[in-house]
Formats: sequence, C-alpha cells, structure tokens
Amino acid sequence: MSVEEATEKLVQSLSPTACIEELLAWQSIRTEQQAASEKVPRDARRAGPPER
Amino acid sequence: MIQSGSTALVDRYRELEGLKNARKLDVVLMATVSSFGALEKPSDAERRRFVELFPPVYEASTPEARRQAVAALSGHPHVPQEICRYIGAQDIAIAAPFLARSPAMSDETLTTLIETMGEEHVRAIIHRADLSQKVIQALIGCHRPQHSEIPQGNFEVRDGSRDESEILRQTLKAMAAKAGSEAEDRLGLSTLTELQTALLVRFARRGERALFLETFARALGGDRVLATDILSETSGRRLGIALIALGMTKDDTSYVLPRIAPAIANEK
Repeated sequence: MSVEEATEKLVQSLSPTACIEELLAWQSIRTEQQAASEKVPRDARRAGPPER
Repeated sequence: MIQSGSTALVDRYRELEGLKNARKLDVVLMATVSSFGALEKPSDAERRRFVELFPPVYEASTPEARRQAVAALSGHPHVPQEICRYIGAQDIAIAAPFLARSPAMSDETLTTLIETMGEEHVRAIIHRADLSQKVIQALIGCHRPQHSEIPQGNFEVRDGSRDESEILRQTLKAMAAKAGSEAEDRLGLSTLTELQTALLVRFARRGERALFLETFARALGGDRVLATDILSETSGRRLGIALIALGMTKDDTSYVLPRIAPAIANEK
C-alpha cells in the first residue's frame, strides 16, 4: 500500500468524536502520572531525612 | 433651474478635479517608489527622505496605487524598517505580499508585527520562505484568541511561557472551569487556531520536526511529554487521532501525517 493510500485509509477511519475521547483519555493518564510524580517527592520530604 | 444646473456642473467639475488630483498623487506615489527602487544601495539621506515622503503620499493615493506600490516594494531589499513596519501594519489586502516576501524586513520588525497585528497578518508571515529561529519562536509563542477573550477549552496556554508546571496548572484550571459544560460535543477540548494549523502544516512541509513538536505540544496545553509520546509512534495513528481531535481538517491531517510519520505505509 502506498503512503497516500495508507494515509487516506487511516484518516477516513478516524471519527472526530472517538478521537476527542481518545485524546482526553491520554490526557487524563498524563495528568495522573504527573500528579503521581509530584506526590512522590512531597511524601519523601514529609518523611524527613533518612535515619543513619 | 439654471443655478441648480450650474451648481451640479461645478460639483461634477470638482469631482473630476478631485479624481485628477488623486490620479496625480497616484503618479507621485509610483514615481517615489520606482525612483527609490532604482537605487541599488540607497544612502542614509535617501532612506531618510523616503521614510518622510512615502507615508503621506501613500495615504493620499487610491487603493489600487497603494497595492501596486507595495507590490513593487515587496522585492526591494533596502526598504527602511520604518516603512516595513508601516506597510506591514496596513490592511491585509495590501500588506500580504510584502509580509510574505519582502527581503528587507528584519527579525525585529517581523517579531513586532507578529506581536501587534492580527491573525491574517501573522498567517501571511508564515508563508515566508526564510523565517529565522527567532521569528519562528515568536510565531509559535504568539497566541491569538479566535472568537473572544475568554480562554477556550482546556488547552489554554499563556503566551510565551515555558514553565511546564504553570502551563499544567492553567490547563487544569481551564479544565475545571469547563467541567460544567462537558456536555458540549467537543467535551471541553479546544480547537487548533488557524495560526497553529498553518504552523503545523508549514513545519510538516519543510520536515521541521522539532518545531512541529513544539507547536503540537503547545496545542496540547504545553504537554511536551504527551506530544513526544504521540509523535514517537511511527505509524502516525496516534498523531492522526490527536490532530483530528484538535479539530484539524481531514485534508490537512492527510497532508501532515505522511510528512511527519513516513512509516505510515507500514501500518497494517
């Protein structure tokens, strides 16, 4: 299949509503990841310096 | 009757006289432009004289003469920056060829126009073949609200800010503000501005992947990690989904995809 055909096939198969839902889902995952990565150093700070 | 007839005749005469004067000024404008254009390397004094003379003659000329004068200056490499800024800020119907082609415009002038003029002017600048990194950064960083001053959707990005956490905060804030109207068909997702679309198409056409990534990331609310993730998928499927979700037309998406994700043909 040529690049043009493959592109056309892919683009025609994409429904705007489904794409919006999918992008929002990716964003939610990213937001959760971001929140988790921010939480880890905060928790570490709260725990105080490691005991010797 | 006779008086009224003669008044009409006088009015008509004045009208014709006005027309004649306007045409005379058109001739003066074209003469000003062509004599300046004939100078291979204008001296400082000649440039100063042109800066003083051009605006008033331009103002007094007809739109057709203005168009011709600006078109003639579009190819001249020594147009002073004051005149570049002046022409660049004129009505887009006249300024467009100058904005898109003039070799005289400095980066500073282009940046000033990007920051101060409307979207049509900025889009004309995007058509330039020789955009420097500085101007491209100004284009990517410039934000033009399309319909209102109210932030649209959850992808609002403050202009020029590179602070990722601030952008994320803004995004979350906008998402929260939008939560009440989630029933809308775009589910609170903003649409690419015409400017962002034009930039994405330009960077795809020229194979400028890094600049494409930067513009795309901004369209995603500044989420560079998500943008990089989407672009790293070589089949282009995720990019296609994201572009359509952001409101890019299928024609533009079909143009962009194979240029950014050439492995698309391997997609099963």
